[in-house]
Amino acid sequence: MSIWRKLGKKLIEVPDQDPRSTARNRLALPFMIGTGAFLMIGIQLVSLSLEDSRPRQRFADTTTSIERGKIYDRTGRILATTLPAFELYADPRTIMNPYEATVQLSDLLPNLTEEQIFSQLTRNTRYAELSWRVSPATYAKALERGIVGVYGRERATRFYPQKYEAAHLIGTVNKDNKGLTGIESGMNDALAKGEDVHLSIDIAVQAILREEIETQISKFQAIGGAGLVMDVKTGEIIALTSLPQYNANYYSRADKDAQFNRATKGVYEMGSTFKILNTAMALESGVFTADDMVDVVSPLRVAGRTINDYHPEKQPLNVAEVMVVSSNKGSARIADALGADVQQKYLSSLGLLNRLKLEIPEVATPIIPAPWQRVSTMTVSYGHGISVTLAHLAAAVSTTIGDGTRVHPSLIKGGVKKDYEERVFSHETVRQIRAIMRRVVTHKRGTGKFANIEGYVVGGKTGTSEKIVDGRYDKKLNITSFLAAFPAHDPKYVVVAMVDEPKGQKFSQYYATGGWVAAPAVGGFIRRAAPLLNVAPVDEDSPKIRPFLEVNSPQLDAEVQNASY
Amino acid sequence: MPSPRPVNAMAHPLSAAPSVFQRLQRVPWLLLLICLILSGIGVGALYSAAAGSWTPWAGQHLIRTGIGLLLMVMIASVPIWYYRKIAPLGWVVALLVLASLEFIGSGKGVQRWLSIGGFNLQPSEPAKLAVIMLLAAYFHTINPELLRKIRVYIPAAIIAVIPFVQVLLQPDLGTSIMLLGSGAAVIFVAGMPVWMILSILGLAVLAAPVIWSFLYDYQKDRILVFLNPGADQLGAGYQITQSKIALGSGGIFGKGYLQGSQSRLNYLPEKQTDFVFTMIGEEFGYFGALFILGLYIIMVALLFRLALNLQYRFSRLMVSGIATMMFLYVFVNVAMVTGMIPVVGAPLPMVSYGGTALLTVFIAMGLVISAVVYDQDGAD
Repeated sequence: MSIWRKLGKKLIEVPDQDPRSTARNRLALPFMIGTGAFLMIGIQLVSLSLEDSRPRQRFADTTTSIERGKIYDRTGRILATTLPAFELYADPRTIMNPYEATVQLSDLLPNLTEEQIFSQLTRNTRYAELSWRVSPATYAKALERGIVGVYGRERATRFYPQKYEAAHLIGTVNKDNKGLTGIESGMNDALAKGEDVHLSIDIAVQAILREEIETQISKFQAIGGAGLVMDVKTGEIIALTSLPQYNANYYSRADKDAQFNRATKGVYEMGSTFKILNTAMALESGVFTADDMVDVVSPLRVAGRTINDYHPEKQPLNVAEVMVVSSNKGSARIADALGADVQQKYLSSLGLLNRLKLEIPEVATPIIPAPWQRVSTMTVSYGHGISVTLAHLAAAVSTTIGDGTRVHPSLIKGGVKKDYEERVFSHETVRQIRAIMRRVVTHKRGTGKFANIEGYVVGGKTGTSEKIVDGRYDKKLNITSFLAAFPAHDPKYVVVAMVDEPKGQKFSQYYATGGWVAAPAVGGFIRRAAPLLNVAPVDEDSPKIRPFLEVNSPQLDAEVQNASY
Repeated sequence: MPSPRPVNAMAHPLSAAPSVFQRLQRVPWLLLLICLILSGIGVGALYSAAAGSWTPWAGQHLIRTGIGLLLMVMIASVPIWYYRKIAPLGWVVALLVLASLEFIGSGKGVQRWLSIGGFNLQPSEPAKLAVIMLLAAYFHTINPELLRKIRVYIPAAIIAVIPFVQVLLQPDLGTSIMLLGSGAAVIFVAGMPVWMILSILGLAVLAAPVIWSFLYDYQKDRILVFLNPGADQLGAGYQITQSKIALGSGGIFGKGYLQGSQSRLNYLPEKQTDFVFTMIGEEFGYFGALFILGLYIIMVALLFRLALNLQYRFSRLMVSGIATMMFLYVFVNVAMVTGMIPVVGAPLPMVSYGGTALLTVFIAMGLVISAVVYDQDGAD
């Protein structure tokens, strides 16, 4: 019998005459099916306990990539480093009871309200961030609570041990540890490769500068301030502060005003500190000598505007004296004699017409007069009608009183490598400007007496300008600044302090000028920081120093003798 | 003249009617013991499901188990052939009750429940038994010679399909499938030719699209979700996802009695009814789950073995159907909570909270005991 016949017979098989044996044959099949089914269930049970219900991670694991380089200050102190922390997130699809989970998470996530947590837990997604950075201790607590659907993973997190100090220039990173602001952004390529960055900043000097400016801000109820210390020879920025400041570890929580870097991104009319540059141009161009007399008495009207002095003068003054008493009329007449072309040439070679070049993205382009009229040339001479950053000013003054060659600002230790020297001012011009700056601080009619710190031969210049509100100068809202160089006979450092919107106080006889507000900050800074900066006190009257500070100022000397000012 | 005796009894050494003691010896005690253990597990599990409380489930379950046992003893003490005779009546009553649900039933948007004097009954459960019994009674009367004729199966099809459609339309997919499966088992064991079975299976495959169009949206959802559970983890897939998490989290030895966090925190839906197995799996682990599964396997195997040895044709077919019914209960429930088949709604017999299913199982056990104890008495 063929197999097909057999099969056919089986198919049409008459059930056995004896129903019992039919049943016996037939029952074998359900029995086998049952056994197979139970076996399958057993396998399924085992496989369930082996299954990992966590959602697959959809991002690269940053812990395995190269660790981001550290940022150090010039003395080797850590400003930014990378530490392990934990990211806490939820898979809302496996969260079973979002209400209970919210209650359990609320005390672990103090930065989120319960409503925010709940809305995260109920989003229609597989990944809802709860916190991208919790400490290992907090993470351990979250795990202990065993909230199904809440997960964490270790991730390298940027940590700034100095917190507030130098936060603006150090900057911050985004969640993927990519530089977002400051050095973190400007030097991101190197840092991402794992290279360390050594800044020109000295965090101790930085702290002193910040404290001194902070003190003046609170004394004069100002809204903010900024300060900068620059190595005159190399252009290295030793300290840079912008106030109010924020904790670098919580960049995103800081308000916009605190995030703003006033020292490199904010442009301001610097006022009379520009007279340093104007005087240097006058001497360098050969149009004036320091002894040339300037008319500061007769009224000065240009293009419908009258230029006035804070203290009206009764006698003509020489070029040096114009700077010491900070005469606007004198500066304007000097600049007018030089002409716009000469002024622009020098401003340009000082870097004041171009965008600031620095290793951070928070830099600004100066606001310059357009069109550059005759009156513009005059006002620019005393720092009005032109807005630059503190870093611009510090670099320009460093150029002027250093060795006369162009100084480029830098936040990196060692400064910018120069391929060639761009000489802007001669040695003689530089010497004269140093001497005049010293006189500003020492002379009875000088405006920077508060910065005269015994032994450090401080030279300086005040600046006060009115803020522009809605296109008009507001007499009540001032930007006050003071720029100092020390020691004046051979400057090592330039210090600039700026205070935004100080209000006159009773103790200042209701003055809120650069001399009252900013100069004491610079003075206090030099007193405390000079030892840290390796500047030793000297005897100014020694024959080694005296000759470098000679200034011929007949009118002022006569005034001092005759009048009781 | 000797009084007429049944043929098979005459052949048997115990030709005289057995004594009560002899009948008690025939009782399948192992089967009974397993039922009691499972009911006890049920009480313990429901105590845990209520976070360590006798209310609302565990106490009730205990009382119902007592009632069930009483009912079982009562049913078991009646000779099996009486049941063969009242089988048609039981089937008609079941049909009428199912039909009445259309008008007076209650449930969550579906008609599954019948309220009688404060008791909520789910008539589809005893309907399964009614179908098994009537099919067994029907084939009991069929001459084996006729089993090759198709016409023999027409009444059988009617017996099974009418209540199947009724339950399907309630709608209760799980119970209707179990009802049809149990009935099919009886027909199969009775001796339907293989070619007919294959033809029916082929027709069923062809009919699947038509059945699909008759399914309710939520039933379609469940099947679709089963095919792709990730698609809707918050909606229909939620139950299964949670159940799988709970089972997986139990590990090998479980989290301990009353310690299952998934169940405790109410993440697990219906943990006192359909998902009670999951909770046990979470608290007692893989071994706990396998232990329960083992009890059911022994139980079903025992039932099939008993069916095999029964002389009385009605008994043999009926016990086969009951064995299949028990198997389907367990398989559908456990396969569902482990995510192997779609969520269809099926209790775990004797462990799940739910009076009707519990009583149905005990009634079935009573019938099995009666079938065993009164076998070979042949009062036919």
